[in-house]
Amino acid sequence: MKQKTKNWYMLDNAASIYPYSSNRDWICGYRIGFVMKEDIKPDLLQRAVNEIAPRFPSYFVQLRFGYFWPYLEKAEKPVIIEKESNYPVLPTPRYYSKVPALRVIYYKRRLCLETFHGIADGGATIEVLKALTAQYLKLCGVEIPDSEYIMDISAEPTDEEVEDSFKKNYTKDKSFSRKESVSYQHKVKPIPNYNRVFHGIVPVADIKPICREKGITITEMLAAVFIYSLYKNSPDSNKKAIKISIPISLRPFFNSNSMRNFSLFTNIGAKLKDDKSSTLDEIIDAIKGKLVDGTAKDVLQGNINLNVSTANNLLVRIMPNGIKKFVLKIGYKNGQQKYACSLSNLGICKMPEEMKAHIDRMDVILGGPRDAIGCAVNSIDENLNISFNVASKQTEVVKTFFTTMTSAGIRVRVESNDGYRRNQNEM
Amino acid sequence: MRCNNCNVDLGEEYTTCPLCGENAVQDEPLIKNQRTAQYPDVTTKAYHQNPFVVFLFIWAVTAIGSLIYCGAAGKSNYLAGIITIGVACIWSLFFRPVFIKQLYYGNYLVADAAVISVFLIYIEYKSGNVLVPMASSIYIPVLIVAALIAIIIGFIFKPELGRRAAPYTIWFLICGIVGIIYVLASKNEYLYMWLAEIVFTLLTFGLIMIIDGKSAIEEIKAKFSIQQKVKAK
Repeated sequence: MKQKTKNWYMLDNAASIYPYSSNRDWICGYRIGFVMKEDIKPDLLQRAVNEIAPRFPSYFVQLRFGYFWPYLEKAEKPVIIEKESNYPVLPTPRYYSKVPALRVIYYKRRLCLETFHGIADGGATIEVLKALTAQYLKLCGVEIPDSEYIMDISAEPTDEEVEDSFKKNYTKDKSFSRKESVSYQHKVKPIPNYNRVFHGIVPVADIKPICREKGITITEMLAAVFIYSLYKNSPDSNKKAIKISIPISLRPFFNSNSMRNFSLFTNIGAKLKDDKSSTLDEIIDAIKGKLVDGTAKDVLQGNINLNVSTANNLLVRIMPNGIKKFVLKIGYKNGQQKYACSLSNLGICKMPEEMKAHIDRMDVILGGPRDAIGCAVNSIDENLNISFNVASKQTEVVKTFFTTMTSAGIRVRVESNDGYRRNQNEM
Repeated sequence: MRCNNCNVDLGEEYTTCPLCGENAVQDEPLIKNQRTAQYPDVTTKAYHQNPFVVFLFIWAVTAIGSLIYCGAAGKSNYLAGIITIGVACIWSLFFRPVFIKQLYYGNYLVADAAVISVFLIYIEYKSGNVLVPMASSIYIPVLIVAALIAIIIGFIFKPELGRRAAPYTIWFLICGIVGIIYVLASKNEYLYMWLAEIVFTLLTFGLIMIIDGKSAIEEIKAKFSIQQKVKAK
């Protein structure tokens, strides 16, 4: 169904917390980008941005605050592409701001979208990135055929694309409880205006046989290695379980075409031995199957019902913004206690071969809390790209993660945004 | 290049391993056909202290200091109140505008006007109508009318300002109703000031509606929007 022209959108159910949890040093956002084979041509990229903008009305917006709820308003200014000059996923002044909540950034071969999480989740933003890249390549003279993997930018946006799928799928069934044991917290001391990124390129062919042998998925394997790395770098005094948060896209489960947020988080982890003697295999055994349990449809439905029923509460609905900010911030902090770090697997990015021929790889960088380590995974072809971001020089967990993988016989190539040219970028 | 310590491949540009800091060694990479995707050089800048935090600190010190001074000197808390709210007014009028960048001025002007109004009402109330007589019946409606005139002048030159100002007119209308109730309750003779304020507000609102009514209604709806109750399937 064709979408009626709208100048503003209420934030979707999952997004409502993001404007309140953000602060001056940190805004809940993320980066999704492609590393192309050739350097980016800025004039053509700007043209491509202008051409796809009408197709994605819920993306080219600015965040504003009403008296009771924040909302997204059609951006007053067009999106101007920016040459990257700072660290990835750093905050921009978005509160009451005329700056669009979506940024298009390029640097040499890299083309990225940095998005405020209030607009959409990564699963939807990938579609915008693919459409933008396809349009850019077309302007560069590359023949990109129509494909089911690329959204048609000449089509009209539909109501289904801008709907709040949480509300649509709210049922009278039982809601789940938010009660959950707290997790060990791995906190780093953030350096202001700094974000260190590590990309680990890992051949799928190396990791798949190991997962098959252990009877787990790639996400579970990576989650186990991440938990193991946190465990090895945790203080001896830690008695709590180490859990990590994994987002799950709900689109395939509820047959949604929403281009906004439609994902939930499941926390998986294990209580490990205090003397640091637990092995990776023990962690794998402890978390095996938990991700599948967390993605059972009744569990997801229960969580949707819980989130929507909370927003349905009259007190929450009419609470003025100032008070809501205070209350939701506490709620967000409380939720953060349930996991140590996040791991987001966006899966395989499918696209036509003609387009793939011009793309080296895809990068996803989480803009999680500044004092935590974020990990995002994706793949285009035969390689996984595992990206970590840490707002600190304390990168022992990342080192343990990759060395654990190499010890298991997995080949790893590491790149970083800091330290690859001696005497440069040193702080 | 490779790091033998971490046993990982590195790009040709790497002289040290980003994971452990050890020197990279010239060796064949295990994963072939990879090119480093570079990031720009960044000169890091520490954040400046948030000016609002500095203000809050000064304000808290002033408020506590003035309360202690008044208590020790046996003077009325009235003075402490003037100092405390006065500091907020000075901040609003003279300092905060300097820090506003890329933002909507209207929101800040309204917030500033609210701080000044509280200041005037406080002095009126505490001085028993001596220092700022009839602040709540005369000065505040005049302040609102002045704001409305600024809005009208603004949207004559920049029509989209009318849309942005529409929600303020709703608040000014609410202020007018509260003002009338206050004047009637306190039985003073300045009822006409608040009535004039309401009439002027309605005129401004009407003007906004004539110029760009559809956008103004959209703006009001967005500003006052409340999440609709969702019915379960």
